[in-house]
Amino acid sequence: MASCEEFQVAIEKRLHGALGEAERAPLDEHLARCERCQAYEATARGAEAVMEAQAREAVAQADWERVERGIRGGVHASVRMLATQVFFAAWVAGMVWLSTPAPLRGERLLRTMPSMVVLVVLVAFVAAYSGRRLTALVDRGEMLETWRQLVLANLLWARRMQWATAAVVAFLLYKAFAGRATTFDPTVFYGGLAVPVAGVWFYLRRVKLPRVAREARDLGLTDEARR
Amino acid sequence: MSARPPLLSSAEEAEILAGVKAGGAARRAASERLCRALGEPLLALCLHLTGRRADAEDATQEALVAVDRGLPSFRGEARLGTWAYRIALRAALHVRARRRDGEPLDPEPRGLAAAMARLPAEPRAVLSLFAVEGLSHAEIAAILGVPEGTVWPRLHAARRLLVESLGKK
Ligand SMILES: [Zn+2]
Repeated sequence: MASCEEFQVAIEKRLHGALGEAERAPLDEHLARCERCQAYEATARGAEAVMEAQAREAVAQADWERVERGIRGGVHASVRMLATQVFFAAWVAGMVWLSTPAPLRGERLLRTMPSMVVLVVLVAFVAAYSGRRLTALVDRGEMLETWRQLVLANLLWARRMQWATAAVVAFLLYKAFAGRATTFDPTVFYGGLAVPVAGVWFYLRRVKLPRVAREARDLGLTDEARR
Repeated sequence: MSARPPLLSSAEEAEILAGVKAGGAARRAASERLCRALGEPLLALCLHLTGRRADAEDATQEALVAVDRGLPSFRGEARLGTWAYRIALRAALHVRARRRDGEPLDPEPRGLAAAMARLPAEPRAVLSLFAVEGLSHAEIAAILGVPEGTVWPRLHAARRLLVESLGKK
């Protein structure tokens, strides 16, 4: 004698066109006298019908032009990363320019070149690490489990980055107000550098971290998301 | 209801991949064909997973872009359709997380989308995949990366959670 649970699985199979011929008669027999399974079938059928109607409506009303525009006009992730790097490098160069008296500008710009390269590489590394592409998925194993691990790693990374950027901002602000230099104005230079780093901190804290925490909660990582 | 035909036959998938390899106009034709075949079912999946049409459109767009760009490096370890659904599933979860917690779903008198939205990702994914026209339980197992035999009990468990969630209102 099969249990209600097994009959309900059979109901799902029938609903999705996968019930074997031999299983049909016993299911109908059971359904004729089991109210619980009748209710289950009604709910399952109802839910499927509503979902189908919703999908049909969405497909009919979808703004396919917008979708297509997005596909054609989308900016490649690597282009966006390059733009970020150029922006950071240009910002640092701008701060060097603004904080240095005119006769020394050229020489100081040249001297900051190596650190600028380091900065660009650092930004590239951070962007590559955080912007894991959708297609870079593991092809084997349980998908949701893989994503759980990925999201967890993302969450921990974002938390660490949040503290790291806060520390960098604090250090730059300290240098801006307490630092001394003979060839340039430390307030302008370090203060100017603190602005984009503070922007990154703000983004991590207000956008990235809450988003990853929501994703973690959705994937069942409730405790990890709370901490 | 009858047994479902696959989204893309093996022959169609092979033609699309050959087009991608050939490059040029054949590459463009292959992407267009893939987008046409995948657009509607991916949108349906993303709608059930995110609960909002605008989110579903965003997720579908992101998934189609990712599929198109990933095509040249597609290694054929899974079926092309399976791989595309995986990408869409991930994109939908991602887009959903962008929405702030309090943001409302579409005005929806029947309450099913709201009940779905209260479910965790896994039962939501199972129910959504089964609601997409043209996906067999074997394909759903492949998309989720779980043994075929576990798909029906998963669906049953997800359905019971949905009933519970519907009761909460
Ligand atoms: Zn029963």
